[in-house]
Amino acid sequence: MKKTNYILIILLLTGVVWSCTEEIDLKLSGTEPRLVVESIITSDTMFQYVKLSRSGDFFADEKLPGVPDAKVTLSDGVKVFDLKETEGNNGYYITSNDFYGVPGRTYTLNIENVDINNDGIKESYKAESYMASVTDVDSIRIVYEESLDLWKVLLYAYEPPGFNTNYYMFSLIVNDTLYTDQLTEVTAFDDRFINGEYANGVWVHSFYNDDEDYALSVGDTVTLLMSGITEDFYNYIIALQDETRENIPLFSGPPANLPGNISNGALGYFTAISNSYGTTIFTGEK
Amino acid sequence: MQDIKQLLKKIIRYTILIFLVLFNSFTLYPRKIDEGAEIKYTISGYIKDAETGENLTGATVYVREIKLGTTSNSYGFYSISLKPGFYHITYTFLGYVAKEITINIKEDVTLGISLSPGTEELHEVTVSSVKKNRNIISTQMGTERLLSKDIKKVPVLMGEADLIKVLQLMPGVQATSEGSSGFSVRGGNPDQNLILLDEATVYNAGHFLGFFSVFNNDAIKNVELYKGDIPASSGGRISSLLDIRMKDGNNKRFSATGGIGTIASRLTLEGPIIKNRTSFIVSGRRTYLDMFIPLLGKKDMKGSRIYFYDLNAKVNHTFNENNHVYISGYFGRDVFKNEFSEMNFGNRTFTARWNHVYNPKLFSNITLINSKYNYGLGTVDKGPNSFEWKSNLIDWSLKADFNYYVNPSNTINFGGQATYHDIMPGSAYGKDEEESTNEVILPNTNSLEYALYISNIQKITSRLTLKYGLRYSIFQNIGPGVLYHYDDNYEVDREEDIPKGEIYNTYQGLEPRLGAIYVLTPTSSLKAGYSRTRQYLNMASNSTSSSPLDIWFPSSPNVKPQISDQYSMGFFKNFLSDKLETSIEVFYKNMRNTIDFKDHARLLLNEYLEGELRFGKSWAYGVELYVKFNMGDWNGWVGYTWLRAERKINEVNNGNTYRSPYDHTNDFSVVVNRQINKRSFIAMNWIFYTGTPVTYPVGRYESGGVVVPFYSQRNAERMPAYNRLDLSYTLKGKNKKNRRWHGEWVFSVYNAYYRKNAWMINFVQDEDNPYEMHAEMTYLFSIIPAITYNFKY
Repeated sequence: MKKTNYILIILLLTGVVWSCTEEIDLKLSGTEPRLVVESIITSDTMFQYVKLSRSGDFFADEKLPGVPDAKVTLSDGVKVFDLKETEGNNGYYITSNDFYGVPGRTYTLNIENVDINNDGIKESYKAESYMASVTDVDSIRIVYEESLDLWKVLLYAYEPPGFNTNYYMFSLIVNDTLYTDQLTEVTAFDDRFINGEYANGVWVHSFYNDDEDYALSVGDTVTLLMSGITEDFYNYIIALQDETRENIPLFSGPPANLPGNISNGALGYFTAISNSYGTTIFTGEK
Repeated sequence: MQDIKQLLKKIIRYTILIFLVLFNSFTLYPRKIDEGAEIKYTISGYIKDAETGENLTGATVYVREIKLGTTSNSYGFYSISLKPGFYHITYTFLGYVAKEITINIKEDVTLGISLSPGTEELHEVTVSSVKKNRNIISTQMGTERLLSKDIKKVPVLMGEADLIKVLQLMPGVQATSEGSSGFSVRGGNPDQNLILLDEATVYNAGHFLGFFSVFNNDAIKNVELYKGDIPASSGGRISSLLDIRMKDGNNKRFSATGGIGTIASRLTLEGPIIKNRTSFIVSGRRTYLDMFIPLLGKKDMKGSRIYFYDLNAKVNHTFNENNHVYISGYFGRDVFKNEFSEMNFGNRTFTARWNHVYNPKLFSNITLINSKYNYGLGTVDKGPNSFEWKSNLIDWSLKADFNYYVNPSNTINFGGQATYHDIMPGSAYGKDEEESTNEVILPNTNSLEYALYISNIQKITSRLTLKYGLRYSIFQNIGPGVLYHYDDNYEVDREEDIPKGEIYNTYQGLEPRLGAIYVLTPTSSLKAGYSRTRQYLNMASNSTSSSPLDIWFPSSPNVKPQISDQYSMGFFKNFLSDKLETSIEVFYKNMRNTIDFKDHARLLLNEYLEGELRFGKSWAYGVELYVKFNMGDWNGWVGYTWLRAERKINEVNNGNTYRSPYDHTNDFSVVVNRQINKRSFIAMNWIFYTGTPVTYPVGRYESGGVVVPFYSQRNAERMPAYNRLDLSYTLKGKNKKNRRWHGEWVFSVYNAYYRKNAWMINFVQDEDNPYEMHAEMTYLFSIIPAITYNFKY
């Protein structure tokens, strides 16, 4: 959590480096393409999506193609929903606009009619995820941290005793646009031992002052999205952030594949999360 | 602490009792030998260097008439029992002039011997036919031995002679990564090497993220690395024993040695306090690398301070012929500091030893040791918004070792040791802006490790010598502490607080050690050995480069001790009257309860560290070839190792066998030095080894809005092969007679042909095109020249 951030910053600063870095030409062995699934079912009332794409060679530099014509169904233990493919063959399959996920239910995803390795045989894939619950966000505050030159987003929320969600993900929305649009930008917490407590200004996310692309302006509406997630998805996020962060050989172990939850060798993840929101206006006061 | 003191007292009392019984039973039959009640007398004493008074370890004593001999122990003591009569006894030691005496034995004799060092010009030292071919008759196999002056001759990084760098040039010993002080012996992990400095354990032997070791060569007398044949007197690590002994201090006259170099300087002062009885040695070294930082032009390092220092100090006193005391200590530190943050780490060891000769056949050494390794990391400012993280490891040890020279065919070593380990794995606190503190304190782990051993070296026939021994080791976890109970998913389901002094787990086991040597001809021999070793303390390290932040964790109810069985065999042959020594050794190691870490393991400040571990088995096998030449002006060696080291760990790599990160298939070293004339010589070493096993991506996919790599099996690929050439040229000052000051200039170049050896390889997204990936290599050292001026007074 914040301590690990501190550690990394200090270590980076004190690392002795007479080192030099240069690009090299490396030959890598390849492998068969795999199906990649990406899907988050949320508790919000809106269309939910499943994105199917194909994996590629490591150094191939084109966009990885979507997988069209698949038969995608979603079940919540009560009903089965057929998802429709959007136009453009990009591999997006969506529910209707009035769909919403219910915390406590277990969702199952089924994918058929796909032949990823082009061997003429259609494959089928399956994944399952429980939808964790989330408490309400009381409020949030944005506070400047001088020593690190960033704006901290502080959470105020109450988690009732016995509440059984232990993993949370935090995303940021600025003026109705998703600011943390990559999974590498969210923060994820393992919160096992703060059950039954009040989160009193817990530092859950940050805006970096020197981020040129996304500087906050005074008057911006900042919304913190707090999601209750499963342990599997928490592990996936942490692994993803580990794998895409630059390696410091002293502190990183051997790289490994992300722990996905889809059958038959597919990559990616299928998860169900519940959302709650807290909003504030950015005043820019230091 | 009281309970522990009681416990230690109990152990000591018990141990002393056992030994009293044991050696009483021996001394009750002092004169009983194979020929009935024949009387034998013992000649014993210390073998020393004539110029400095330093004890010589492993000097050979050969009695011509019985064609048997002995060697001096780590304190220079020798003892051999003979029937009354006239004998020719030769004392030899490598690099010294041999001494032969004639003596009429009619009673026990104490005879101290002083040997004079051979001068530099004397490449061919006059020796008897027994000193030659020492490697043939030595009962050690899988051992490398270095003297301080050998280490000095090898050109190394930045002009600092370094014993670990030189060891990495020996067959069977490999560097773990560029510039690292961690080393791997026969495919083993760096934490499987027991490193002792005057008997105290050194937990982190590297400075500067491993670029230099903590050992100042000027203070070192003797270095022995046991790769496969760890004596029964040592245990606790399953790959090797690195036994480093400091000089005792010249007890004849005051002397100063030192060097001034481009990166570091050192000074050693030694001399007598009471001539021939008491002497001291103090040795210090410091780098001033931080002075060069502004020259590097790296903006983010301005205002940084980076330095390390080592300090060795020792005092020794001879009370009388039978009693000797040594008190030695080491203190070293690395400091990295800038305006915002600071990191420092270091070792501190303290040893007090008492040599006591009970009777001419029984030598004992009792040692008391305290060893500490610690590190600290944090913000410089301790007020609001500050942060500090500390960790340390403290050992208290008591050892008793006895050498019993029964008769010329049998030397029995026995003894025991007890150690208390106190590990504070990490305590961190952070203060936020309101100065309220957030703390993470990992519970201490305390443990006791003890062992008893007995071994004998027995000469069965003139050709066959057997070495056999048994070590019995015990490990206990003792409170205060916390015992975590894990479920099948490696999650903690219960925490149990253990009160102080309560023992909550015991592991124990036998460790047999066997060896045989068969002399085929005076210049060739065959050796074979088997040993079992157990390891109770392990290092949690995520990377192949040693990091000062790696923490040690003990065996526990959740972590079984590692056990290794090693089988080795070797053939040794010398040519050209000992000028060419060759050997070929093969080994096979089979290890159980091997520890590795799960994918994406979190090791820093994690109290549930044991849940990140996965267990299985591992094995290693290989061949080591060694050719050492000593031909007048040309000296050096060529070493080649071929090995394979693999693991099979539950839940890692899907349970499939994968390569150990220390599997370097081919390892080739060439070391040559050539004397050009009386004043100068040049030296070079060339190293080549197969690249470190690494996990590379075999594909990629898009997930969560980013491109993610998809990997091969763990360690299935390799980094590019490592190779490097170092050169040095040494020019001595004109050696005017009667002039006490000797100086020499050493010009060295590290990585002379500027090979960019990859330290790590990363895959990064192209800045312009997010779908394009590049492989990027980082290398540590370009070509590094250095100049050092060494002096001796």
